[in-house]
Amino acid sequence: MMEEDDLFLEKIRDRLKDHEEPLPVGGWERLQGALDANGTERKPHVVSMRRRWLLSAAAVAVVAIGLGLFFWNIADNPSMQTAAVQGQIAQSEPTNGGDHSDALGVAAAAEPTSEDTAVEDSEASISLGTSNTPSVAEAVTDEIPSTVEDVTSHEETVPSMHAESASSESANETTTAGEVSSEVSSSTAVRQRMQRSSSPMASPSASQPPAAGASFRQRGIDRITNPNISTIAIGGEAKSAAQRVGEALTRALPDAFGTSGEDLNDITSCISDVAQCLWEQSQSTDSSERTLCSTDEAWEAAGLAQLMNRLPTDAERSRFTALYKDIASKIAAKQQPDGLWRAGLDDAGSADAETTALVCYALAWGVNHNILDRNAYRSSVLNAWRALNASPDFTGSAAEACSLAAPEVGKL
Amino acid sequence: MHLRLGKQKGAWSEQQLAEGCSRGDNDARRVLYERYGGRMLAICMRYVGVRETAEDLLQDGFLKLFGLFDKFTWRGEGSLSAWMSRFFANEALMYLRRNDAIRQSIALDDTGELPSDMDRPDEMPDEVDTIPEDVLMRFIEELPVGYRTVFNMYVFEGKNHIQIAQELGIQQKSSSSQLARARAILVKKVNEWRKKNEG
Repeated sequence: MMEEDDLFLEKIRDRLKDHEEPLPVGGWERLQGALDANGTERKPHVVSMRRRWLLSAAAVAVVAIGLGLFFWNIADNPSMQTAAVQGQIAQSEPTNGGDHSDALGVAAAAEPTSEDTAVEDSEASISLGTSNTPSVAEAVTDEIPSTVEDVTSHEETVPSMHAESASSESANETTTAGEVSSEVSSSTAVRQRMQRSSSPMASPSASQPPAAGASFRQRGIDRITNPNISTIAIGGEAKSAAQRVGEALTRALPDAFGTSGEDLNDITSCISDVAQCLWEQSQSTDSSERTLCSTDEAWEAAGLAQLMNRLPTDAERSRFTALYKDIASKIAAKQQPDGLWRAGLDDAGSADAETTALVCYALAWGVNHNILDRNAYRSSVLNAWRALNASPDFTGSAAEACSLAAPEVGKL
Repeated sequence: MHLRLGKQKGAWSEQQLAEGCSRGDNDARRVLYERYGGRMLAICMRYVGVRETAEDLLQDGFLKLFGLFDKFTWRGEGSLSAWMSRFFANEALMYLRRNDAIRQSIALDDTGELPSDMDRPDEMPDEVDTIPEDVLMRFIEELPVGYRTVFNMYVFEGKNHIQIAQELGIQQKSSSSQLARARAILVKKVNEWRKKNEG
């Protein structure tokens, strides 16, 4: 962004970017006093890491089976299904790291195990409906912490609001969102059946509809459809709504990034909400909403690919085809001669592995699903992938993005 | 006290700190404050220019931040401090915006053209290296608020003038003229300091 010849400003930045000021005397003690006094002390998470994995695995399994029941209509014997669900959850032990390569596939491979484990774990899944594990909406607002606090606390103190707002929202559903939101009710039905049959001790509140849909609409869609998105919602951050949604989607879908699975309350309602957001975003007439840097576009493209990959019918997919093709051609044009993408707005700076891997995933997915022209995109993806493979080992999110891309690139 | 012995200050990795803070672990919070507080205070100082205000922002900001760790997603080494830096820069910016200080100062200032001698005054980037950090900090803190804000967003947050203009609700050309003026003042101060201390 900075003019290349502006050494003076660069020098100042380099000198001061890690500058530290001495902390005020007694600063921590005052802070601690304030923490104790105004009770911001959050209830510690008692859920162990293993347990959280189990919760996320259970969420995946419940939803996957819900989708399976709904779309393939195989729910001929409720009690057998319940047994299968229990078995599946028990099977979803976190032994294989982040490898949820295909939620539906995992569900199909389920085998019942001992009854004790099954009962214990289905209780874990019941708590999903009411627990305040962060939802995808919070992932969206991850970077604008100062604006979400009041919404969050509101949600925690008035749980009964969820039911009301969820139902009033669904009454207002447009036809397009309605198509997808029917998935939600099916997975909820499965969950409620599980509660009835396997755990008579479940509290009444556990059968409330999941809150994720309503809260995502409040915090997500309201913000995203707002024409002033860039100044209001983003605050100090320069990110487009589409990028936030894309990033949230890519990160939140657990088979993409295993560790984010715990952020999921209800995957299907998230998908329908995100679908709606992206759809509305694509209809936006405000072109400034669509000024993105390569990293933004990469996230958006990857998020769209993730989303379309999960939509069950071609008709639903086709709603996003134009948007996806548009972003794919834009991002493909920004590939640099070395095969890699840059992170910055003006394609300057050093190569960015995360961006490149995300683009690889997004473009390879499109080619493999006959949405993008093979001749136009295949070689650029392969060039990028070769360049990535020639780079040193990656860590963190770049490595995650690479593992996301690898299977799709392999199918090219 | 014996509990602390197991976790010396330096023993916490960034990721462990983030996990500790999201559990509400008091030791993790203390280490977080002590390890990153100085840098966060410097960010606040760069924006608001007054130590008392910056210390208030630091205190309030940490209180708020401790409640937000469930929204933080670990994205590799450095992601925690980057997240915190953005958070505090945003807090400081919101403070300035609440008082509408930025727009008023820019509106008042924006009437005239840039004086020609301010366009590109004599500069020697290497001279910046000889000046102590706290002197450079003071130079930035002494800038008028509008200059200072645009300067911080452009230089330290890597934003371009389109983004800055959008976020501050000003014209894009105001953003670039604010930056040019801030830059000219800093060059002048650097040169003056050098003459006084070396000549």
